[in-house]
Amino acid sequence: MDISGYRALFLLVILGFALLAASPLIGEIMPKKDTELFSEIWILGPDHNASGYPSVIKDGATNSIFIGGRNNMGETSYYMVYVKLLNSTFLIRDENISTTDFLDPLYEFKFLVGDGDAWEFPVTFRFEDLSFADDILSVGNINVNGINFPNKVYTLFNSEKDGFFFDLSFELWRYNIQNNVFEYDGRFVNLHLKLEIS
Amino acid sequence: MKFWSGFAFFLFFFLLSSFSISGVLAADKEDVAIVISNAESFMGETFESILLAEQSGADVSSLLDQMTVGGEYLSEANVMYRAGAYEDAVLFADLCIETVNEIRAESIELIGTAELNFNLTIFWSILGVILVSVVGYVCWRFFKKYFLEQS
Repeated sequence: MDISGYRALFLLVILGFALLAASPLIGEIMPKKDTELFSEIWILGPDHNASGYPSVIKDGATNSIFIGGRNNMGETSYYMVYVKLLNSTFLIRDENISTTDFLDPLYEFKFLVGDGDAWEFPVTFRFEDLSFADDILSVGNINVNGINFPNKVYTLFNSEKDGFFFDLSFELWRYNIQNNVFEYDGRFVNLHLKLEIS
Repeated sequence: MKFWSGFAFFLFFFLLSSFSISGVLAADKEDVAIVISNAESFMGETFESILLAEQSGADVSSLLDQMTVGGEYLSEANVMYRAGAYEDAVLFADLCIETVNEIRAESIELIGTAELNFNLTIFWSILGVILVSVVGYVCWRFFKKYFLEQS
């Protein structure tokens, strides 16, 4: 090998060591690889699995579920879950309705979750003082996680499904630091509940 | 006549007192809404500083549990407000601010530490590249001299 060949070899070795020395900085400034960014939300039944969801609700009986999800947004996220009650006369949740901004929530959860981490909260609920007249069922009190909401709510008799129904909806909202507000993340899970006067 | 004027007087004061009572309740409700709104802003701002610390490379996992406790207090404050328990709502909003206040200073410290670490990384990386270049050049000079002497 002549001197120019050795020079090239030396330059290659020096370049390799220089890259090695600069690797901590390169690691910091290299853009992260593109991945799909999204949030998850799910409901689990009282036994902590995807079965046994409450569906037929008796007056005064306490029902329990778990609401959970995962943050895949690539960074820590600040979430809020709104618990809303929907009735048959107003609306029962369908896929075409993207948000229920106009509906006041009953209950809410606010929490921070690191990237890739899961979250979960237990939820108990109870419908009390059910009364029925002229195809209308009224609920005198709703209890969510031990807190009473004594506002009367109504639902009409559903002749197709032969019963009185409410939807307990869980909406996922995420904090937007640009606007400094929570924004609906477009994800929700629902419990379709048939109420019975025992 | 005396009865009717007495009745009108009683009615006037009854209505006046009921207006003033509802006025006080309304003011209380508004005050509570302001306290909760302040707690909401405080949580939001602290979340921003945590996110900034995370983006600067700091490990913020230790702060998240405490922030979630703050979030639970804030949720309780909102729930109590909706249920009409205004005193409890204020109590929970104050607890939220108190809990989050401790984290806020810590997250700002983390941003400082992360920035310092980043600057140190830049310094050591540049120094490393310069050292490798200088040592490589010196080695090359020795090698070149040795090679030319041999040939």
